[in-house]
Amino acid sequence: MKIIFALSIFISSPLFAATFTGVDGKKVVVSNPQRLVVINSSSVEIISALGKGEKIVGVDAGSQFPEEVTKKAQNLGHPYRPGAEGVISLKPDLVIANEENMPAATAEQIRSAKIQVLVLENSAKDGLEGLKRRVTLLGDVLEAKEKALELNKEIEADVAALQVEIKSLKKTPKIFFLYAHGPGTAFIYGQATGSHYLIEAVGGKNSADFTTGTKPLTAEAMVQASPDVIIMLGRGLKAVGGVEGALKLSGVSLTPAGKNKAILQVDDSIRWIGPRFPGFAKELLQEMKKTL
Amino acid sequence: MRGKATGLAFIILLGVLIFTVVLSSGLGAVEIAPLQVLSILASQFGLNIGVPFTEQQEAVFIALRLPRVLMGLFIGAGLAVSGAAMQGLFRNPLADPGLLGISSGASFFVGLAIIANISFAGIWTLPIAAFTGSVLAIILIYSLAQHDRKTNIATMLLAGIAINALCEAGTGLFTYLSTDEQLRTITFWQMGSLGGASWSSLGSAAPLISLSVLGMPFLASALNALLLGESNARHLGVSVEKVKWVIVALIGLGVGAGVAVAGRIGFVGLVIPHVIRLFVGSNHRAVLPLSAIAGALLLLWADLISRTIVSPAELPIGILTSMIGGPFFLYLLLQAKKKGRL
Repeated sequence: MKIIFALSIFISSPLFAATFTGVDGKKVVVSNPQRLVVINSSSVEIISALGKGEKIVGVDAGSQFPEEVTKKAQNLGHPYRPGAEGVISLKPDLVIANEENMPAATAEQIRSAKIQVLVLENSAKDGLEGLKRRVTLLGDVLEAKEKALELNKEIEADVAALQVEIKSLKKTPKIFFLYAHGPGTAFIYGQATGSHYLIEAVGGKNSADFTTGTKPLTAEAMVQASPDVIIMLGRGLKAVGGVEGALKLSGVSLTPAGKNKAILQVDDSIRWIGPRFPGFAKELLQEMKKTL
Repeated sequence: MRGKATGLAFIILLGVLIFTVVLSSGLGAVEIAPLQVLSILASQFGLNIGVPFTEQQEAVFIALRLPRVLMGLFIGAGLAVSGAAMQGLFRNPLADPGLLGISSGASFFVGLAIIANISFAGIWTLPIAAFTGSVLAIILIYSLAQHDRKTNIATMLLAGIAINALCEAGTGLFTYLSTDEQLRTITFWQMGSLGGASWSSLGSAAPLISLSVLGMPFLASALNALLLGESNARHLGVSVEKVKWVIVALIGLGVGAGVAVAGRIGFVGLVIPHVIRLFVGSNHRAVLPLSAIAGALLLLWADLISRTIVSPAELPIGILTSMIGGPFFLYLLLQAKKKGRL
């Protein structure tokens, strides 16, 4: 017994301790963390892809992939307002969240219980470059450098393959990401959003690039954008009643995309850029080629 | 009879409140047994009573749980006392702190701070904005109601409703202009939460709310006189103008300070005074202190449920106050109707 005890102390000793600085400027000392609370779906996916998913003990309600990780972990509720006490109750030795998922006051509360909180860049920041940075950082934090390197190479290879395919496009299609859960609740997603990077990745031009971030959508703005292709989240498309329903949304039928019924479905998590992003882009490109 | 009922209600409510404070100090996502609560408290004064607890339990209890429970206590009391005083002042059972534009004034300024990306005071920016908004709203309404150095209560009510509508429209505009992230902040603020409670936020709000809760009962006899109408109150020797100013200022403090640290929490100020009046009548000497205790109780229970029902996640407290208070209030109304008291 004593030997096992001594051994476990040795393994968990700060032998591998390393210091990282979060985007909030706070230094975080990490030494072989065993219990992770991860508040952000993209980070959950990256950590799982690095082979460390079994260490995740708590996630937010928005993290639903991969299921074998998110089903097993405790659900800490709303992705943007994790409760400090709930997080602490899971006794994590490291909390990982993106800036938008971790209000500064909550991070402070969690740190008051002597729990390390690592705050990462938001997942839509700098598109695939940002994704690779987060993969590298999480690889270093979780001692999976090799895996991280591999994952980043895969991402680069996928992007290169996409570039080749894009060349065969006859023109640069204007694409509009229509975020809607029903009539009258639509949003414009402009520059520096996850959907904007997806549109760029498939060789399109974001027809809503006149704005940064998100804005409520009006019918006239839709017509003015005049996209060749409209993309919608799977659940959004379902909520409005499929392609036929989407065509009835104000302004849609007056656009080239509406006239050609070029309304395509993308994965629900597309606004958060994670390891599956190049795959989503590839699927979208293939679907799009059929409509152009 | 009334006096006896009041004394009894006071003792019972106070007992339940103490029980609730102890209970909710121990319950939450992190388990802390009652004896451990005592042990942790004792250890703060260097005493060891021999009940072990972990460092984490101590940190959660001292840094999160205790300030949160105390915050619920103060805010609940402040909202209920302000509601009771406002109903007395306006001689209108439907008056509530939301009506005078205090909460919506706060919302407006919070929305403004969020949309303009103002962050001069870090995590204190929104509380400061909220407090400024409530105080400005109340000053504005009060000055609008001034006429010949007198305050017209009817004008004040109408001005309050107008300011309320204006502020709501402004908040709506900010919501429309906001980005995803800003929208979330506004929405969550509107739902209210005690989750952000800390010793420093408690320290900023509790003294102001205390002024309101402890000061208002001194105006109980004046409020009773005002129930007979202003001229009658004047005949009874009440300096009506002064009293109105003081009451309005105390309401501003009680509600503004609470809204500033916990966001909008509806229902407490409107309904708690009614419940109390159903039991003890409309004497403000009884209604004000009993409302304070009952308001604290409602908020503590709502918070306890909000952080245990979906543990380790949390529900926003504004939803809970209405969900617990609403049916209970309806039940009391039906009872009173049956007995022909309404």
